[in-house]
Amino acid sequence: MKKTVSIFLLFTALSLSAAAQEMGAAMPFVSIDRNPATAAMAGTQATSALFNPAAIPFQAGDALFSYQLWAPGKENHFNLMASIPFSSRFGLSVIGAYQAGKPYTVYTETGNEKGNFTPADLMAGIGLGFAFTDFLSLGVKAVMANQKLADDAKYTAFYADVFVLFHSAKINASAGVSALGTPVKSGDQAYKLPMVIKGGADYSPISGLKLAVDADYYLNLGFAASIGAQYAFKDMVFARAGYHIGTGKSPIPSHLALGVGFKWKGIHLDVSYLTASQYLGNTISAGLGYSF
Amino acid sequence: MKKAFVLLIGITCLAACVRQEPVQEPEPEQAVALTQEEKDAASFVPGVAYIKLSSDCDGHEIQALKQMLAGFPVKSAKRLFPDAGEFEERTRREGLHLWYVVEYDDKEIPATKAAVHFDGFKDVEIFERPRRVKSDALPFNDPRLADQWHYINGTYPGVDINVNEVWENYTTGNSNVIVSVVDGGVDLEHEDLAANCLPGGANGSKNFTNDTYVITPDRHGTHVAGTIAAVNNNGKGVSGIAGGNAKKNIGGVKIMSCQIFGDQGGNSPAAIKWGADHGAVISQNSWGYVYDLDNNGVIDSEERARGENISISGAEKAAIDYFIKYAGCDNSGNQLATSPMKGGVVIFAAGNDTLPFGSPADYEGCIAVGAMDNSGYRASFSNYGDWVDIAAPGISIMSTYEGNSYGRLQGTSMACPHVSGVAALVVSYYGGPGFTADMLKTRLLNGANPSIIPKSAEIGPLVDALGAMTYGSGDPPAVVSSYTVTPVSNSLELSWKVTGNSRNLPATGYVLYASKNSLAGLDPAQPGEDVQIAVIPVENKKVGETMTARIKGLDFETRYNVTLAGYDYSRNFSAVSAIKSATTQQNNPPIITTTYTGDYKVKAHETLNVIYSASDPDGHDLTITFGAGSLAESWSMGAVTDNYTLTVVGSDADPGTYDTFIQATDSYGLSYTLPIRYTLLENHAPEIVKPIQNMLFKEIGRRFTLDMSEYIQDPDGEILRYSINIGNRSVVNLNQAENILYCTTLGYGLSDVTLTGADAKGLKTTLSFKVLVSEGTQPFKAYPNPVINNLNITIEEQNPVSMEVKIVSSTGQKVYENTVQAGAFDPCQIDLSACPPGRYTLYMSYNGKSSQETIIKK
Repeated sequence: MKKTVSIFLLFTALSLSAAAQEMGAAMPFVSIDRNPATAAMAGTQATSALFNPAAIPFQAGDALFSYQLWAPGKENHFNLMASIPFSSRFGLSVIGAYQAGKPYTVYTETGNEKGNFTPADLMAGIGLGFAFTDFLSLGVKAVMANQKLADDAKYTAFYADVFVLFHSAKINASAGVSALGTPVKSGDQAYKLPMVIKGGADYSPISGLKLAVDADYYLNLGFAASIGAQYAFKDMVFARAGYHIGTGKSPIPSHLALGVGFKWKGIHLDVSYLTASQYLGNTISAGLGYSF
Repeated sequence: MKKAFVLLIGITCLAACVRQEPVQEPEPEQAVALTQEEKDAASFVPGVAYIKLSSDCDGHEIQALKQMLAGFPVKSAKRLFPDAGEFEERTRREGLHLWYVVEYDDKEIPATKAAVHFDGFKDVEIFERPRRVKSDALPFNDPRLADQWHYINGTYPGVDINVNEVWENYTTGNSNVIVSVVDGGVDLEHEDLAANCLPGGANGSKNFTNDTYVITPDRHGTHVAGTIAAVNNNGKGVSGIAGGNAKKNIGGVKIMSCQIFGDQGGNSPAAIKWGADHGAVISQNSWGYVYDLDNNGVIDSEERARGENISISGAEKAAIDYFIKYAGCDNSGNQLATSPMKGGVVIFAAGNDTLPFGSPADYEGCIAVGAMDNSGYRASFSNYGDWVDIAAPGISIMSTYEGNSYGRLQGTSMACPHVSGVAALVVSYYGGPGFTADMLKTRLLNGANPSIIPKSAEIGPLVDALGAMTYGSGDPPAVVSSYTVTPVSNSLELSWKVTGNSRNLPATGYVLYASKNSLAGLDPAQPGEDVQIAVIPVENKKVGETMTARIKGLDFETRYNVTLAGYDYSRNFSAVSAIKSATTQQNNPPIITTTYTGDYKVKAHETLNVIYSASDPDGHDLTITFGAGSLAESWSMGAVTDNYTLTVVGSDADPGTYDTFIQATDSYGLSYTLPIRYTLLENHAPEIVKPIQNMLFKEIGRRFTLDMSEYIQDPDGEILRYSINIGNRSVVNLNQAENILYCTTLGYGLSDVTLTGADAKGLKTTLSFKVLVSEGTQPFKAYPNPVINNLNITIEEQNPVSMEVKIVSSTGQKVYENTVQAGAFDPCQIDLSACPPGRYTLYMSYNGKSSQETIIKK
């Protein structure tokens, strides 16, 4: 454990020194919450098994396909994710995402048109969760992210998420680091991914109610925090809300999130709507999943 | 009777075997009006050029000539001033040996192109076309007289029959002189001959081919007759040697056509005799025996051997002897009162076979005539030998053709009537009781000019009309009774009036004499060695007109005795005039002047031309030398004699001040040098005097103009050469007319346009501007996209305005926000080099207009 913390601190220091002059992080889309249920709670996903593999051993399995109409750039995101507990100690998760950007006009250095190009992003990852005890687990996720911006501008990065999670009957708490990976190189420049030190917890004080909070520190970029609440009626109908505060150059700006969900015999449909943000407002997500 | 019949057959056969002599030049000419071009061409001798080689060619003139004549349709090239023997040294000293006469085929290359050809050679210092003899040298108005070089040679002056002065001062012919032309039939009705022809009849012309009086016009006979007696000064065709003067109502000698050529051969002996019996005193015969028996154009050795053994037939000899003896006489041999001459002369063409023999011309009773070309050489075809008595022009002879036309023929046949014509002139002038054929023959042969044709040509001396007319004269011009002497430097200038002989004909020339010693007892024909002379021809002056001439080359400031004497064509001298004394003056230096009053500062784009005039107050010849201050400087001879032009080309040397000079040195070494200093000014590069605003257009097909000289000018005042470069020709089209640009927008887009102004030295200045043609539907533009470092944003405003710019990452994070200034040609630049690769959204707004674009950062 001590060794893990040391490695974590080393990565943190490296990230701090490398990204001092950047105007943001490379591939910021890795920070997007692709699960409509947690997105509706302003991205409080630290204890969600679809995000954090450390939670897999303590949660039911879930498979989800979601679509997002992502307001900045009006892009279409298609996501596929699943968390699969194989036992009370061990589970596996996968994630895949495809983001279709809007076509843009290519202009030369002198301003003359040179055609059009449609950019796209692709993500794929796999996570493992292992519970050391009935209340403590570790999760690791490895992700490959690819970004195709132009015929001569294609970038690929690999990163990992590492989390520990404490589990009890009413509380889940997790801490770790996300987007810890290789920088994106363009020419002789290297740009860091939006690596974040993340902590989060959820609490269910009464049946059907869940309160969640996430706190993020994006190295060299800024702090962010999210709070969210979910109320479940007979575990069939869900109402969700939350608020995210993004400061500095943290990838996701502040916004208000709302959402609803429906579940019947494991099949669930969730919808989220982000608002109260100049650029992120009107982002809609919808997901269809199956819990098992 | 039988014998007579056989004799007749024999004569007929002989007649059939004689042949005409002409070699026709294939250019039958009709009497048509000259075009303007032809009139212009008539100003110059066709197909002839005078060329002066540069002094660089001295010593290898032939090599230089060969080089420049390679591929040129040249006929001949000879020195204009032939080797002068004992005077060759001074001929060369004066550079006259560098002058050449080039004859060329003017049908193959016109004169203008010939000039261009020779101008292309640096070794050609002067190219000029010899002008035809001016009208004052052409005594008649016959339009083709200018083409009759054989009378007055404009190309080789003096190489002609010297008839002009005879026409002016002696005679143009007399109608009581009859020349029988034993030849093809003469066109008796020819417009330029009829007045001087005897019609067919018992006492006139006769056809001996059919024994009738009907003459069949024949080219050869008509051409021969025209040379002798084409009517002069009638405004038509050609001139004849003894053709009279129609304007003065003076008839020419009469032509009696004795036709012996036709479908059948004629009786030539009878034809010759017919002339003697019917008033002719000159028998003209341009025919001879056939030596080319197989008529293949070549006389082989067998034919030559046979020819050597052919002599005149007995019948023709008898007829010739008869003509010589009885022409102009009665049956007793006494001169008829109406005849201009006792006895006759029979003149024959020598023949055209390039043979050293030729009958009947070689019969000693005849005058045999060889042919010469227009430069004084034997014609290539002419027979030759010591039996040829006299030569005459036989190349390119212009005369009458049958049917009122005219043209050129060549041959001894054409030379022969020149002698007959001159003979007719002599008889016309001297003829009368007591004038005999021997006297005529003596004048013809002894008065001929032996200095033109080399003796080696073996065609005798050149017939000379004036020589024949003046031969044996004992009638020198009168002594000059009064004259003045004026010293001019080391020359003595004499002035006197032309004197005439007893018939008031002007002297041929005068000899001026000067000596430091006494001139008492001076023999004008043989002055002593201590006497300096100057021979002054009278040329066209009349008796009583004033002549002024100098004896040059005397010692300076020396007292001389002077006198003068006139002489006629036969070198009969008058007595010398009274002897006078005069003292020559000192030598004066040459003078160099110019009318140029400007400064001698030359800008790089300028060329300075200054004309200097060099003269010698003493009239001495001058040698002009020039300095060479710089490569920018050159000297040339001016169009006016003794004018010299200094040319300084400002771009041909570095800036600076240079010294040069022009120096004139007289023939005695006295010189004057005019120093000249000129300055080549510094060249300055063109300058931009006004920027060109970038241009925004919102329509295709918009036209506008630009005067480039308003924007780029030369500080030296030079008119610049402008050029343009268009970055995108699909946007704008520019047509340049000198310094004006005519512009049209062709399509939407942006194009850089670069103007370049260059001066004569190649210094350039460029000025660029942009032309933007916009549809107006896209007020914002951000480029490049994708961007690596700087993102440019333009808006469709001619002048920059404030605009709001925001850049948001793909996750909605604002990475840039600012208020910037931007315009169509003044983009704002946003440094995105620190921005990670990715998609961003660009928000732009100004004046209520807004737009958002996806931009890519690489």
